[in-house]
Amino acid sequence: MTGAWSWWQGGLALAGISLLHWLWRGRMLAVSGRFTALLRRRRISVDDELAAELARATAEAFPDAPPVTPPRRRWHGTEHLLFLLALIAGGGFAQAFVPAPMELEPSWPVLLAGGLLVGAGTRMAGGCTSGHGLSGVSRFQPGSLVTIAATFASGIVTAWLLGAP
Amino acid sequence: MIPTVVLGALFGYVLARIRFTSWHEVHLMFTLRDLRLVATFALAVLLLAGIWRLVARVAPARFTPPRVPFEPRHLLGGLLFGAGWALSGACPTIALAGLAQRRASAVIVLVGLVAGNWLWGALNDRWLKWSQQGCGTED
Repeated sequence: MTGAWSWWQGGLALAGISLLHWLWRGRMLAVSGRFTALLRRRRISVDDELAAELARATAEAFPDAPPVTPPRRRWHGTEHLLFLLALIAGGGFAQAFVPAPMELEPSWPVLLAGGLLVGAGTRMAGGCTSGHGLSGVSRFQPGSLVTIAATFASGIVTAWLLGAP
Repeated sequence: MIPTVVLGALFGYVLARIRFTSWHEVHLMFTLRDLRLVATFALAVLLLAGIWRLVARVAPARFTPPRVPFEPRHLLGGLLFGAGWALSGACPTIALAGLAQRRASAVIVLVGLVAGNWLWGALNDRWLKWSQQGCGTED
């Protein structure tokens, strides 16, 4: 078993993982949201402080009322980090199993600029290939359909302009 | 905890086995010279469309995924994302799954990706205040 999986093996596997993710976690597969959740940590803790402050002020103004407990937003940072690290491990295992050849790639400024655009674009659109592409498009969600259509249109034009390194 | 790790590892393994983690394969996909990755993606989406239809019928109370109504930020975000993907050869997931294969270049892409996500979040929080609702339900 060497080389790349064929389109039908890959399609079956990706659909299987999406279904398994929903069955096991009760949530749709969506990866860029995990990056965003990790980076938004501080904002959420500020919200918590504000909620605590409001509860204190409410208790002062209405001493007879039952104490207000602000709903706490749980931050699943460890889970998100573990999922992202597991992606690295899974990809690394496949690489050890069937090593892929080293390939020519564009220079580092092009890669860095590309990374910046991917980060900003997926944060802006609120999703990436997994969340919008697999989970959203398969449920015909309008926002996801537009995101993925724009992604592929823009990718095709950019790749064509760029050419191979 | 365990489901998260198993699902992440499986996903990373599959993406590397499809060779979705390769800059060159992604370039072949976007230049439409090899439609294998497009066919892979299309088959997965078609299968899932059938699966969700079935799941919604069998367990309607448990199947309550988020709705994603259209907003202009989807169009603009998608355009930026597509350009970045064609340049860097990576979407957020395959940047990680391809780390073992691409080494230094994947690290460069990841640095850009995290910086871009943070930067847009900061700019948006400060000035634009567009909705940040994600397509998933992670928090």
